[in-house]
Amino acid sequence: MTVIEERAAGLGRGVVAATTRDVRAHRRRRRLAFLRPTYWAPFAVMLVVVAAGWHLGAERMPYLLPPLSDVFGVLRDEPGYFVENSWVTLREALIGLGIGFAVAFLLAILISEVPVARRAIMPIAVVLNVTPLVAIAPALVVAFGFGAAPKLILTSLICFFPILINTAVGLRSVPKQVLQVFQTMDASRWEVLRHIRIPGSLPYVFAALQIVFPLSVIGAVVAELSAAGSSAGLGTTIQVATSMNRLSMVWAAIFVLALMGSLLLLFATVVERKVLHWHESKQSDS
Amino acid sequence: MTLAAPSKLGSGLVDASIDVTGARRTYELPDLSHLVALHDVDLSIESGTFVSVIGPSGCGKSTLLRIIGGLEQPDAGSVTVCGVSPKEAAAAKALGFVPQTPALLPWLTVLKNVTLPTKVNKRRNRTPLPDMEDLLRKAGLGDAMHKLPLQLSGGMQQRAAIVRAFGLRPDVMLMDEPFSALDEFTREALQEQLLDLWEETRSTVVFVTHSVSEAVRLSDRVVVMAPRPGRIVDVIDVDLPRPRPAALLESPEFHHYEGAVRDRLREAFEHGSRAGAAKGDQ
Repeated sequence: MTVIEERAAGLGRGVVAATTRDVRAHRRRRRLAFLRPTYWAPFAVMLVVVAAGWHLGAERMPYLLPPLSDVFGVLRDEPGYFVENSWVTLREALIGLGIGFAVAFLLAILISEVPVARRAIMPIAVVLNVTPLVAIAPALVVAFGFGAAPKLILTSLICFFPILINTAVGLRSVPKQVLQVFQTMDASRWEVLRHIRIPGSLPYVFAALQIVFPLSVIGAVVAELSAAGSSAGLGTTIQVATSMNRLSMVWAAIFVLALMGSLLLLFATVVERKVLHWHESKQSDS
Repeated sequence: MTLAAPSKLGSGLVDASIDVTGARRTYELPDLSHLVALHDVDLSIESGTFVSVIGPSGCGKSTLLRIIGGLEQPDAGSVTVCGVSPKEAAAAKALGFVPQTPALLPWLTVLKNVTLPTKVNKRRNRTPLPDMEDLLRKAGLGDAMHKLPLQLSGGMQQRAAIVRAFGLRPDVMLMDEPFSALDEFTREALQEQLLDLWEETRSTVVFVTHSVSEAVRLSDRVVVMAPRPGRIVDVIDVDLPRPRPAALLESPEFHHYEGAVRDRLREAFEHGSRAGAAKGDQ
């Protein structure tokens, strides 16, 4: 290394140190951003408006909307009941999602590696996707009874299509020149899949997961609603409470479901941010 | 660290020469007419020479490179690389390829990107494995080693792509306009680094470019191609001493070679467009 180069390298290090410092300060500011009123005020105002509207509505039409205080009262009086039933629904949703994900992911690999398989699988997948799965639910209950089976099947069916399509597109999204580089090294199909295609598909897979996590809860609840004799789950809670005209109970279950969906979405987003830190869409610091 | 070429090639093949005989490649266009990308091209490149292929767009220079690299099959004619077919040369890991874009994997750090080639087709890895960290430091990427490609400039990304290809210790290096997207200054710096790396490995290089000065500075021989149909019109030997520092670019000898290449290009282009007009597009 010449003197000039060494000096240049030294200068370079100084620049790097300075930018790291800037980046840290920037990150700290970002982390505290939620404290600023501009960040939380719009949502807080909206929350108050909705609550006030609800309150007015509930006062005029008590047979349509229960007062908010009643809804939270139900939640406060029987927290164990809600935790238990939420857990049943959540478990159905997550296991169904897991099954749907595994099957869709493997089929996506098959589709992307074997063109003939694409022609066999895609038409069925599309038909499955356009059929309203809510309509299949009662038939599934007739076929598989009141146990967990129809719920898991419906949930995995709902999750199946977005994962299949996104993963298949993701596996094919590798730039041609990257493939050419590895072709001149005689990389095997498996090596290309493992080192290039699967990691490259992750942004697409996570986009699908963001859609599918909340969908899985919908699948589980719809299946529970259709299986009138189910022993547990928030869908069952809603149905039983409706038949007994316990409106505050119905709304309490709906609130819990909304919370569950939001938390699942949050989970998917946080994991995505961790895993895809390299992706352009997550490069917020530069 | 020494990278001196061993008597026997790292890949176990005999001789890093390239032979193209009567290569023809025709593409069918959407309107069912045919574009002759390569028209009976003959080219033989001796082991250890640096050869540039230059010509206007559509002269088939990239097609020629892809055929040598086994990325495309000729419709007629034959290609041997290191005495075997391009596919077999690729299987022996005798080839290094640098495309026009850096083609790095965005989720891997620079270091992991350049070591990934040792993780595919492992049986044919060179032993001992090259010290990629050292190679990166030599290429001025020491500080960038643990960064992601997106955090680097275009020039640094392309440098990483070149290190990735050289890290394989390939007997034959194929480069498809690797510097065409870079600014003039970065370009010249990278040419110098490429020559440094090449001095150590002395692999056979086929370098596709559309820059006359780049071709003259880098090469032992410049292959001039013309379009419609894609063919070789001349091969010009560049008899300039090595190493070739930036100062050489201003010498009269350098200008002499530049002029010669430019003349041949112009002739070929004028002739080509006249022939194209007369014959129609085959």
